[in-house]
Amino acid sequence: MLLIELVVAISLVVSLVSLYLGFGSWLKTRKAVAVIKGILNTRSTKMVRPRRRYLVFEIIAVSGSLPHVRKPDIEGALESSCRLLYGVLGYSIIRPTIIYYDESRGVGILSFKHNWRNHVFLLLSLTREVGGVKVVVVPRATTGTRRKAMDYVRRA
Amino acid sequence: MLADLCYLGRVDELVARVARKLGYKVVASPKVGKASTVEGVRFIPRIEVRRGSLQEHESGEGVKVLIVESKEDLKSYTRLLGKVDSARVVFDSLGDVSKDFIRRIIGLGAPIEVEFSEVVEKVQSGRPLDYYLLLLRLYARRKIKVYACSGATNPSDMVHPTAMFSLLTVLGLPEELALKAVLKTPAEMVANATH
Repeated sequence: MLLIELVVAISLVVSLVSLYLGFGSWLKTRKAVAVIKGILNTRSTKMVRPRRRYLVFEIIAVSGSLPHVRKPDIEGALESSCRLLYGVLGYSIIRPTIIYYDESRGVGILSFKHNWRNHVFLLLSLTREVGGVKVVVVPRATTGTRRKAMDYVRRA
Repeated sequence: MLADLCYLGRVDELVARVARKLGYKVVASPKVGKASTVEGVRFIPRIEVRRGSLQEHESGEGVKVLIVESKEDLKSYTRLLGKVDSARVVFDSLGDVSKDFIRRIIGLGAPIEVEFSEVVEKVQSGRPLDYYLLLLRLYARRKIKVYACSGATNPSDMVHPTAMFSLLTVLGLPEELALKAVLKTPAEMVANATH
């Protein structure tokens, strides 16, 4: 009886020790994997090819009427805001271009470089007056192709 | 639930329409006396309290925001615990920020307000953003909570939540934390506020 208890106790200790060792080796392996991944990860040093993104936006006229908001005025307002915030270099990199604008509905598509997405959202929020009309620009959706953006505009 | 907790202008149907278009469900304004719903947007009172007048507003309904204008406002901050929903630090009137002040902000535990219009105005006028960056650094290290709000005084100044998210990420905050500051923290505050 005593022998059985002894065997059970020894096996329990052995299993606990093996669990501890196993956990330790798992932690070490995880650390090693992280180090190897870090060495192999060259994304931060790689220059990514900038892709165009298409942002569907809607203009809400707060004062004045929507048909007075014209495409060249929006482009001018965006350009001046962009130059003010990010400078000439930023503007030439982002190149926000309005590729479509429906004056009756106030819905349009803006194209820009994908890695400047957050900057463009900020830019749109700072565009508060277009052609003498106080506006709020609401970003609706971002797509990767012009066709999808046009689909969204038709559905909106 | 999207909430703009610092709309500072007068509230009318136009504000409700713009807020609805921007996706907000709740707007807090100091010009609102009693909670009401206009065009599907809930307007709740925003009570801006100074340290001296805290007891007057103790039973008030709405989101209570402590305005911190001097270092003395956070003196013995433990008395403020649970009495205010958030704090707004007016850095212009504060002067230098000491370690002691930071310790008090951390100890207060209430979310700190970051006003979009104030930050943007500072950027556009070329003034430094050091104190905001300090707040965001503390937030990134999980020492304090931060939430973003528009600080608009009229409907055309209202901003889309993605713009606030973008501002925080452009200032260097990780995306998950920026999202939390725009979405989760204001929603929690609205849920906890008495109204």
